[in-house]
Amino acid sequence: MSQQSRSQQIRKFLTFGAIPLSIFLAVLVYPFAQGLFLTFTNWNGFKYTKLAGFENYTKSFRDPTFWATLGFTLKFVLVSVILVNAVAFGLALLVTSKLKSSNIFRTFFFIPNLIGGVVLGVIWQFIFNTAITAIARKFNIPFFQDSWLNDTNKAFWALIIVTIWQSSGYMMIIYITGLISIEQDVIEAAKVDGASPLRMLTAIKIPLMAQAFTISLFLTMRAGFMAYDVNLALTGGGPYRTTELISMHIFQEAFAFGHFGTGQAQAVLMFFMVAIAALIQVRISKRLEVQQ
Amino acid sequence: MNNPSKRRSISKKVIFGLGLFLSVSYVAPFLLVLLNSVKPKFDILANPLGWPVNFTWDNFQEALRKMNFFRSLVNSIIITTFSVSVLIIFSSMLAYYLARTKNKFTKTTFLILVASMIVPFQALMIPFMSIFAQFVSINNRIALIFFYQGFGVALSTFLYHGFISKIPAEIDEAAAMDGANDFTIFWRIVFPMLRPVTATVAIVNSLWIWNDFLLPRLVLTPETQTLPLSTYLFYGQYSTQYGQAMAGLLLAVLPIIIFYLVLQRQFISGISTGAVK
Amino acid sequence: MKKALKVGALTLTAALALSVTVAAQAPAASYTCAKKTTVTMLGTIKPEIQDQFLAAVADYNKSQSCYTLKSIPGDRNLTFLQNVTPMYAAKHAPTIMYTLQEIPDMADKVMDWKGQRLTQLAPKGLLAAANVGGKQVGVPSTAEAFGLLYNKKVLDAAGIDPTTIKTRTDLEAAFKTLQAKGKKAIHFSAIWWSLGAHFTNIYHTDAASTHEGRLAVLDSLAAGTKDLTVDPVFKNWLSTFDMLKKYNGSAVNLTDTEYDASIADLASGNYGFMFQGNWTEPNLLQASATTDFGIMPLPISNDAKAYGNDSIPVGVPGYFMVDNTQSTATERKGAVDFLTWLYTSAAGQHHVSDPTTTTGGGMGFIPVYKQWNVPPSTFMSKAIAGFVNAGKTTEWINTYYPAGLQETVGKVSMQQYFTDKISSADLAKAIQAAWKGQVKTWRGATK
Repeated sequence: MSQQSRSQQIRKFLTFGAIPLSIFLAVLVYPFAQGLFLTFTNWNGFKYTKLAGFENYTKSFRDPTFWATLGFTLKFVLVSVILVNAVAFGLALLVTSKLKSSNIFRTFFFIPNLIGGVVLGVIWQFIFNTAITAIARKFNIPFFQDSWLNDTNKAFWALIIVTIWQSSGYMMIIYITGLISIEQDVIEAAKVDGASPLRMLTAIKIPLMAQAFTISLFLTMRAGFMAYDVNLALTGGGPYRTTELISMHIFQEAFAFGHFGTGQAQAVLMFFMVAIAALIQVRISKRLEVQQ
Repeated sequence: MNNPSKRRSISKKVIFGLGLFLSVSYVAPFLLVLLNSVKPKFDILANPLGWPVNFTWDNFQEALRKMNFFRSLVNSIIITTFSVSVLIIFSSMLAYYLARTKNKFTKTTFLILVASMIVPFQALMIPFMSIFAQFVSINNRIALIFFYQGFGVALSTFLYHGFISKIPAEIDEAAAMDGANDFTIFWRIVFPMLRPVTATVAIVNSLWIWNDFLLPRLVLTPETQTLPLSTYLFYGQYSTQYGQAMAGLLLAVLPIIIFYLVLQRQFISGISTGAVK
Repeated sequence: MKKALKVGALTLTAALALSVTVAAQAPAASYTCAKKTTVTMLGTIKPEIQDQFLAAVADYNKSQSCYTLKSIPGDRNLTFLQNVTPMYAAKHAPTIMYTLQEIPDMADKVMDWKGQRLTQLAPKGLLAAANVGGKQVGVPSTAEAFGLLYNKKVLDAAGIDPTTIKTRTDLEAAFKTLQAKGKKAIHFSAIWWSLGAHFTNIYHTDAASTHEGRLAVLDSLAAGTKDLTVDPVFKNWLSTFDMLKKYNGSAVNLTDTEYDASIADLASGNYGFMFQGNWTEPNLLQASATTDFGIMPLPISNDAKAYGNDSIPVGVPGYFMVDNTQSTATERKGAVDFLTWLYTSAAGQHHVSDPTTTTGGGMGFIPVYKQWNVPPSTFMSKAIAGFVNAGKTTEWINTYYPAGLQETVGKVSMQQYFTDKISSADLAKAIQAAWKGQVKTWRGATK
């Protein structure tokens, strides 16, 4: 492919890449660059009057709630990435296990994906506060009598549960695609060799669908860092603003307190943080893929 | 226990039981919503799990009226269909270009695209709105469809890129020798092979665009509002019309569930053709 | 801002008194236009009375041929600024906006109401809070009050007369009586805005008997020189907080579902009291139409004569502002026309202050404009009119809270104290810390 001439390459670019890339530049890159510029000003959401240097950044670094939020977000990302993918892979195995009812199961697992985050948060808030506590009182189960959303740790797990419920069906689809793409003769050959189901899974299936893992891990990590809707509608950051994830914190900083400059700066910091994390993750997974 | 077929049937039963249990727990919240959508508000609060005593369709009637259901539904369908179709065209072409033409430019572009997927919308929301203010005021639906191209192209291209990279380049090289140009090769030969991933891209983007809230709320007016947007009418500042909210939620989700069930068949066939290949 | 609400309660009295006597009604100018201009408003006044407000809008749109008023839905999860900033950036700012604490932020972007009919009809004292540097930025919507709400049936059955409760000890005795009768004493809500804006206001408004004295407390808090733990009013307030916690009969719920739960509780007839405001009355009546729900002061002192002990805080929950930077002159005219119609025409006034019902009705507002012809009709609005007429009202100092303060205090320290996560000394410290260094917007300072 490398022997393409320059003019060929340009023609290819114009045919295939020019339109989508210019829209991408206009819609995403340019506003982002402008947002980046605003972090170096005394912007108040409506206008700015002077440059402020790195003040918005140093302010963010000095803000202890920013660090607390960051820590909480990292914990959330780590736990949700592991659990969502574990559950999703399990569901994919279950659904591809040649069960008659697997089609129906797959549909059910995927259904939570069909509704948006805010609505979903409202339903789950109702479930945790009203429905579960009602059951708990009826059957006298103390662990559930007090709403989970009143306690920082339990509210964290509530967030995780809802996240798993919502996104595992989606990741399951990616894993199903991966599992199905494995050539049947490879599996047949392994069966002939007498490989156990577990061995088949770890030695054949998982390595051959490494790419599905790369994609899923990346998507769940991204979703974890950017989680906003469910956070806002389910816990609202409570109790005591201890369950605010980074996106929500930025929104609060900018709009509730009117600190647009620092809010914007934190958004930029968040972007670089996630970018680094994602690059590391993709690089590692790709390396593992190549090794197969 | 030595009988393998017996063991298999037991393990099948276990798997079936597990699947059944999980299915129920995944659907339970919807059943709860359905159960409460036919109750008056204070019955919901007093007894969220009880069987509806004062059964009523009022919630649905009110929800249909307040949401302006059919107009919102049409808006949602128009916006989602157009956005997703154009996204499929643009991102598959872009992915093909980035996957097949390997040079510094395409590599960097791909990296930037991947990185852009993690740009928080908050970081560009306000500059974004001021840049496109005029465009929005001319035709907000077209503007929104345009914006979705910008925000959606990265993930879709990413998904296509992974798939195209696996298709041997010899296929299109052979076609090129037969004298076909790039454009024809892509649409006649490569694109049909992308069916499984096209289905994925279609589903993923439809769900996102159908349910998206922040961007449409900024861009659309009451006349062009989408279905999910219209369900927000039931949440008061302090108090929530639970019955209407639940009825509204079901009404808003129904079309997308139908869409999913319809497309699911294509999805499966797409996956199997992809696997047979 | 400086003189804001200084004479608020006083003029409110005058306005309400006038409303009964003056019945003169300016004939609605009948006008025709060739083409209707669309005028937008962000949200409705509040989602709870959305249907009633939209009914008024529909009526208005039918009543004349010049303007079509449209409400653009806002998001309750977002603050006013979250809703409005992107719209300004997108150059489609709503023409009519309604808010309270963000008035200073919006002052340079909105129209001056000076000379309009509504400003002539509104009591000066109520206009003051929306007067920024001589510019009349907004006009008031209504007056609201908060305090101890009670279920009259329950209190009657227990033989409790709310008018005899003058001190904290009296209140505790009433709580005990209720418990002895097998009822729960109070549903004390931990909703952040109730704690952060309203419950803290009980301290701030009782802290000094003059407006100037109350602002001086804010000054010293902002300067970091105030020690709340030695303030006797703060101590009384804390003791009241502790007492309400002690007699609270409901499970703690820190999230937004609490509001509906508390309504259901008070309406159920199992509870005697709750700490809330008159905006709950339509919800309460929706839950139990045949019950009367009253309002009384929350006495925090054991000295019946202590300032504020016998009064309820009454204030304006929000002001209407009209954009002056992105709207056309016709749109602004339409905005003013709609609001004037709403508060001066016979039909508009009914929409504003008729009681709210499940099927519609009015917004149930307490009128604040002169020449009002619809008398208060619900039990609670009559009770509030009684307090206003007797001059037994206190100020809403929370109007002066800087943006974000009630979130910080309400969502964090107040809820932490509510759930026994921090001590009272910690609470005092946290409140002091939240105030320290705040720009004195209550003195007219700009950020």
